[in-house]
Amino acid sequence: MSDSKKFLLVGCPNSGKTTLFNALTGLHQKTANYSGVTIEKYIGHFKIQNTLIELIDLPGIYSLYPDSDDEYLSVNEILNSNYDGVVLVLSAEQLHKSLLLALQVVDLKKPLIVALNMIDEAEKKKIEINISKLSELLNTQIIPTNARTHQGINELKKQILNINISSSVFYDKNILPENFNNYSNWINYVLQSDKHSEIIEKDLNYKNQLVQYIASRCVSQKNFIQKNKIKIDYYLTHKIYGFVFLLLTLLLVFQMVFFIAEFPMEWIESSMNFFSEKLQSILPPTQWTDLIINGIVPGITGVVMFIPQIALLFLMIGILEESGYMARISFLMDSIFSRFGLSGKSLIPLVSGVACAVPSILSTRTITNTKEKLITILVLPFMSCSARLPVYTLLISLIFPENQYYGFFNIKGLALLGLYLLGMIMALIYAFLFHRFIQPQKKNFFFIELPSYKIPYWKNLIFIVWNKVKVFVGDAGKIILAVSIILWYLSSHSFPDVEKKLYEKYSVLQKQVANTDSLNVLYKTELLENSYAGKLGKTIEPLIHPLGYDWKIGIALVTSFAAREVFVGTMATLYSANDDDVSTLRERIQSAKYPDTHQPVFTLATNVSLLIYYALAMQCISTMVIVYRELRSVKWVIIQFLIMTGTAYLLAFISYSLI
Amino acid sequence: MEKKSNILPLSKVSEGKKVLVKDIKNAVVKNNLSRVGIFVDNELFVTKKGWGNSPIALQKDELEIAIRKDIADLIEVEILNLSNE
Repeated sequence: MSDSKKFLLVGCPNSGKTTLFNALTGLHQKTANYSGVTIEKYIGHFKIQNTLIELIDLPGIYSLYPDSDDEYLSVNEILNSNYDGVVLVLSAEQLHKSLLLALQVVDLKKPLIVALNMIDEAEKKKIEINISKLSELLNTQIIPTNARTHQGINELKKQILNINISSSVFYDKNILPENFNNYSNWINYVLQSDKHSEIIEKDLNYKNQLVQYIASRCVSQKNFIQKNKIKIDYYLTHKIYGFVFLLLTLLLVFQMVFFIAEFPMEWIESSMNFFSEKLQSILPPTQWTDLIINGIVPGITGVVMFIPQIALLFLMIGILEESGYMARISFLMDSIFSRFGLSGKSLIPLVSGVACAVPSILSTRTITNTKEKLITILVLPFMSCSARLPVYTLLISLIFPENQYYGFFNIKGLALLGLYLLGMIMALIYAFLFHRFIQPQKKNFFFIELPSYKIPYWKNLIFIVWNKVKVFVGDAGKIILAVSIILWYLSSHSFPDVEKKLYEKYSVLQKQVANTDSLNVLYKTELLENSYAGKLGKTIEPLIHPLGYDWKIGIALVTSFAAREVFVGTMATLYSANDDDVSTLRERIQSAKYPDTHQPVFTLATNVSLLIYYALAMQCISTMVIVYRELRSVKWVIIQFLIMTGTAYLLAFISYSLI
Repeated sequence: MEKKSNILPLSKVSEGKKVLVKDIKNAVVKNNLSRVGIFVDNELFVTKKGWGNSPIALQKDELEIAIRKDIADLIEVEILNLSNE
């Protein structure tokens, strides 16, 4: 019969802990969230003899005195969960940095084994470590490993069942208050209170002396100057060249997310359309078929469509993180972004928000400061995403039907640029305001570790992409699917007697008219007009009238909640045009008039007002779902919705009134 | 002539200087720096600074970290390689 044991993988950030985790568990891993928060823990499995080992990769910590939320969760898990032992990862490249944590973990008196990782990096830097001496001083078994080449992995797996509790003691009993008889109780007490900084200071100072002693006995480094690193780092963090390189990097990320992802996305869309058409030809014309074809399939498409963007964005983020360049980006941008309450790490999510807010919000997980992450998520949807483009294209072409040029610049291009700039400026203004008004729950000590440069390890990149896609499909995907089914219901159903009357009316007409295609389009239009969504559009007409919108625009506002680009499709249905033919739609929209006054509906003022509204309003249910998923707070989702839509409403109203 | 003191806040030290940490004027900052191995009496190297003197990158042994100016203001240091000024 097989046995099972649970181990925690503990280590400092940048100690190669995750690479070691991947080497130990392979693809046998899953992601879970700590209850109530979105900080992830990775759980992996492997088998030794007849024992199934469950290994939990905890977020990296510098010491058992936590500062950030993820550190707090790691320490809490180490102190208070049930497990059979700790695998402590020390960086051979930066042993000084790792030793403090090692001494604290030894003091907890838990079964322990040490993986002295990145042994290759230490060798490159001519760092020599006397492993047997270190093992003797820590009184624990130490396995040298290089997780990238799997060096020492089998040995670590073999020895994991033979671990024991170190008898060494590295804390001064005289420093801790009298009622704490062991170090574990003391740390647990510190977790619940932040009023013991003097004792913490004494403990850290005491341990620092031990760290210096151990390092002096076990670590030596021959003269070594890493000339290339210094040169590369000089240019990448330079006040001018650094920004030039950053711009090129952003361009690459942008190309990947915005343009390259388009090919698989188009392929997915056309495949799903093909699938949908096939289903339509096979299945009988019932309500259930309509649900499958117009509710479930588009819902699944809406989820699957995002996968290429998410995969490519996280591949790029993985490369930036693994290479050590992400930390340099944070360094460069922090001087600018910190004034707006954002982190240097907010740059990548904000820029990728121009492609799509959904993967970009997921990528804010790299921001460790809770307040900065919150502000980034709250302002990110102001960035004009690609779903706004069809709306912009249609409305700009209504304002400027002809191509006009100012020098080299096309007027339509300038208008488009203006809308992108409007989003960026609003994002910065609101970030600044949030920064002023949101009080941090706990003041984080901000620092960025600038790790040494490394060539990204491809296996780690695969794990990053795989895990992020899995999280998206498993969590957010379900909600997006459910919401699109609800929207399908609202836009395809109305009160039963209305539906029946319409059906009877068009059944009679169909027998009288030769061109049934145009009759079908009219039927669809009238169905949508009388649907629950249509009724909702008419109900909100008094609310949107001050912005210059009629009930038809109201319906488009309601349906485009599923995705902004649905605005164009809805307008096409309402104005009985083919979805793909924008020029026909434009002509029909341009000629639309109010039946009572015979005044045109789409005036310059209405078009500008609509453009501003779509640039700034929170008109995307997927984004709201993801925001909820990341913040686990309905309050912030509502605040974000009210602020974005309120600002959009106000500015649209002002522009409509002034023009 | 009055002797010029070379003890100043870390935020005012220019790039390329080696400094000795003399005092850290905030317990939370002190403990957080200790967590990454930076203590009073340690020698640090100011490797680079961002626009407006923030963040400030510091190196100790193999570890390089960057802190913001408001934190660097709380760290008093003595410049060791004054001859390069």
